[in-house]
Amino acid sequence: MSSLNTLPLEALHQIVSYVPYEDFKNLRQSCAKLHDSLEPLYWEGCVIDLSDPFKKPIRIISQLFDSESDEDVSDCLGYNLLKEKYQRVFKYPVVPWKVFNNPGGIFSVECYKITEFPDVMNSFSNTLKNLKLLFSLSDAGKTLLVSPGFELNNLESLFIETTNGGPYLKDFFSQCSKWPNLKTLTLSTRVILESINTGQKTLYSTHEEVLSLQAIPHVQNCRLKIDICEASRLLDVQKPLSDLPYVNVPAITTLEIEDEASLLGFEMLNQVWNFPNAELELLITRKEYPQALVEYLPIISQHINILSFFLPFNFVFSHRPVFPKFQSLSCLHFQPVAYESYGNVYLSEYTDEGKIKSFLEQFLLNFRETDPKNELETVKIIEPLLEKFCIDKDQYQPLIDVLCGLTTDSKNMMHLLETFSRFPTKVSCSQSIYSIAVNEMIFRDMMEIKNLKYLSVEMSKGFYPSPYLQRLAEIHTSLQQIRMFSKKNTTSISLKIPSYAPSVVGMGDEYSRLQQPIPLSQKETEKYMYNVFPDVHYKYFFEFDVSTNVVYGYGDPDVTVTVMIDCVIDVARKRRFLNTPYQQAFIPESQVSKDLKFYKHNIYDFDLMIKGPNFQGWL
Amino acid sequence: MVTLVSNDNKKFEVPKDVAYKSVLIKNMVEDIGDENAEIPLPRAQASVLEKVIDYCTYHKDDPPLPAPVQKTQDDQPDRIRRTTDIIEWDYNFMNLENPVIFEIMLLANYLDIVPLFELTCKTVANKIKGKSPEQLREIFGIENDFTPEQLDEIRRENEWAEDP
Repeated sequence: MSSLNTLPLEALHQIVSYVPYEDFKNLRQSCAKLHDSLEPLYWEGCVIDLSDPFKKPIRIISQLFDSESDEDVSDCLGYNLLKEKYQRVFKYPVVPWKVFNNPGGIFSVECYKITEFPDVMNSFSNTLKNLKLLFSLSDAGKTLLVSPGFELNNLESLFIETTNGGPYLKDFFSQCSKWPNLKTLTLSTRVILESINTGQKTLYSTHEEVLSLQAIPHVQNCRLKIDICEASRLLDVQKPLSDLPYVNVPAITTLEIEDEASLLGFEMLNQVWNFPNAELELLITRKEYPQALVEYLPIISQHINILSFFLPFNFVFSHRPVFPKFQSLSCLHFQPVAYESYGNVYLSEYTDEGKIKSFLEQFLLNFRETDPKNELETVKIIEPLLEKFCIDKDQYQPLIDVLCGLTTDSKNMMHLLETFSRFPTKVSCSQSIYSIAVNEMIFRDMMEIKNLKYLSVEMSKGFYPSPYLQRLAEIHTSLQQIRMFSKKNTTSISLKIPSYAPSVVGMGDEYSRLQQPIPLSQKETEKYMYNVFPDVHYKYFFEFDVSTNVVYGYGDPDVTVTVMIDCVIDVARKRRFLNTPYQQAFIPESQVSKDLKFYKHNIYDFDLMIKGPNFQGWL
Repeated sequence: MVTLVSNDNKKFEVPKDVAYKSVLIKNMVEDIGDENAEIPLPRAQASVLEKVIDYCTYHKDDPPLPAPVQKTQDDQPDRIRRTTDIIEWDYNFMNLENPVIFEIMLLANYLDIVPLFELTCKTVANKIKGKSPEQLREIFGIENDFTPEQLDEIRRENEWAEDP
């Protein structure tokens, strides 16, 4: 009679197609015959991920994915993690265990010498998905030999690091261009800025590596990372770059340069290498960063197109002359710092700090006493004070707008700042207004960055309804998308809303008359927050979670509004996301119906085009 | 009627629609061109063939299975197939000793009766699910014949695979 371990392979395959991975594994461990019979099937659908040398490679059985029945896979190893990472994995060829019995070794140049590389890699010719190659000092100037038939048919991403002068990779790169699935190539290298031989600063690298650059294949994402650093000694094989002819590398799509040498290295590199299709990510590591930024502005402004912009506290920075000169800047990451209680940001061009503080204190006092109900009344308070303290109205327009917002635009500022009307003059109060004004000035000046396409605003440190961000979302000529988000797993936005902010968190019409604050309902708070981030209909929320917390203590109770948010404002396309859950929840029904009717023919396209984490527009 | 002859020369008179549940028999009858001819089944024991005929008789009116869809490289991966979609009659029908189930499985595969073949595989899969290697050996009467070297290899293989 037949038994399980004598069944033909096709029957066994059919049986194991019904069992999850863990049971499949146990079945293979029951006897040697089953172990060997199921060997090919066990490795079918296997992915070897060698992208991280500190992790063991990951193996995935493709059958695990997209099961209709969660219970079948819920106890499979790392299922959720893997599913997230390899959701699109289909089937991968077999990797016999006997071949792949030393998975960790491939990363280590101690294990595999440069000459052994092709022999080792041939074992992975149909399997390997991600590959990282590290070259040691002793590889500098050598050639990585590959035969014309050397193929990694399944390779999707390749990372090459040549920390101290690279080998000759021209043949290897030529071969790479034939690999059908290669989509991402990252080459990290180092260029030395030194004055050892000539007394004059010169860039050094191995000529072999430079010549290799020209053979880099055209792939979807090709990143070249260059560290320009000052080294104490040079290798024999490292020669001045100026000895080589001008190098043109059109294959690079992103050029990332970290310059330890005050941009001098970058400037020199720019004279000998050309990357016509690359977006530049430039990192200046000099300690005197902001001054260096201004000092090297003529260089930066010509090239830089991605900028991360963050102002630490108690930091003096002059952004205003900088922004208009960033004519190549297409992507700006900005982290506002306003409304933190720990300190202030000062802009160096606004040197009237003392005057502004006095002005604000006086304004708040008058504001409280007169309790203005509209913008005109507020302006009547502001104008004499501007004159009294000799403040340039044009220069401080955002600050004035903030103050006017106390009574005018309820969707942007009033609900948050109406509080000041009933608040005695306090240093913290004027600081808060000043910090907001600083941010508003920055948002205003972003209008001057004419080619800006993507603006991301990280709000993990705090945020507030911003009228000038509203303007950017409405009328910036080149801006395509604004992303507003708080970082996950780190911190949420905590808006410290003083107890005297009646309309935001419902502390009562007159706090002084109440024994207990009365927070607004969760829904009312959410609706308010939703509308002020900012108030446009072409915004799409991936994540939005608002919670309020009232802490009673000495003095005024603290109300903390915590917001987890991830939102994209589609400035360019002006898509109307009218039937998303958030829109339906927070926009008055009548308005939704009206808009839905008007935009009926496009609704489905709008809301189906962006789907949470699969959203591809933000690039 | 179609006459099926087992390897121990036992003859079974089976209605045509029952016999035609087997793609093999259907093709053979059509190849011979004589519906009354005896169909020898040298790989079929009478006791097992009888069970298979019982199954085909019960399921003779089932609609034919849809043709398999040709997959492309871009298709989604195979799903883990369900083993819980077994009707009560089939479940009771499969209440047999393991060796008999395997024999039915092999005969169903030989006769190309896909639903029966899948039913036997699902039944075995259900017996495998949630069992340790030791339990599997006990259930299916398997001898642990691993050498120490093979056990070491399995241990290393599992170490590598279990910590993604």
